Amino acid sequence: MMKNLRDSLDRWLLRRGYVHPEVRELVRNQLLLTALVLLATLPFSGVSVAAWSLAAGTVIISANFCSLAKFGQRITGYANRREAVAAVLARFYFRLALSGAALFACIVWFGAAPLPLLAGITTVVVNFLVWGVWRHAGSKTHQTLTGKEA
Amino acid sequence: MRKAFMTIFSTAALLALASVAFAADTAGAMGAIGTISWATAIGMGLAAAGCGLGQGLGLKAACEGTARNPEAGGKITVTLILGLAFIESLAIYALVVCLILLFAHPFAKIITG
Repeated sequence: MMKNLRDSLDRWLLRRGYVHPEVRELVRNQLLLTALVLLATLPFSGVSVAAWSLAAGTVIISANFCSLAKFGQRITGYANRREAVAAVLARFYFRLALSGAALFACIVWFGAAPLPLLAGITTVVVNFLVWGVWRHAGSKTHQTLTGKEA
Repeated sequence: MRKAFMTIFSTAALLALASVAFAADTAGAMGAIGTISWATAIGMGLAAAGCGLGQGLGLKAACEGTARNPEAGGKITVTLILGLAFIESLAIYALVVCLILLFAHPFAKIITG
């Protein structure tokens, strides 16, 4: 079942323009992590501020990362380096402004708890670290089995 | 020459900021709020500028790497996206800390009395 879910999510992401396999893997893991956090916290969101703050932080950073990953796949294809840097910076500040507005609404208008919000934002870093460790462990195993570097 | 200029400049900046900080102590709650506002503005400005600079430098290196060795483009792209996402999350952390300082300061009641 997990494999089916993973495959269908992969196909959906491919249709959405995530053509690079490793980038797609990262985005898929982040989406699964977000779904897990939402499933774990939403039942308590009416009772606990921390629960919905954690969910809000996770959703904000996931949206941010998905947008970055989709654009990031075609950055290096830019012929002009200056044009690429300008595009990255424009998108970075635009995303930062959007995230700022969302975080402002969460903290100031809805009174989100800051620590769970930060914990939600950290999910993307956790995703990368787990992915990196997993890959490193995988390459070590491959190296041990075949005697060659992966 | 450059070293001497940097030393003089940083000493002058420290002395100027120290007088502002001491003045804020005496001015009470409004002074503290003003100082916090300045701190968040400068902090967020520095964070955004630093992160923008980091992203630009990372991208420049990635473009050069891909141009030299197009076959390594896939690996470079993944590493670049990871780097950009780490930098972006740093900017968002700075933003959250600034928002906390401005609107959800843990010691706000103590400062304002």
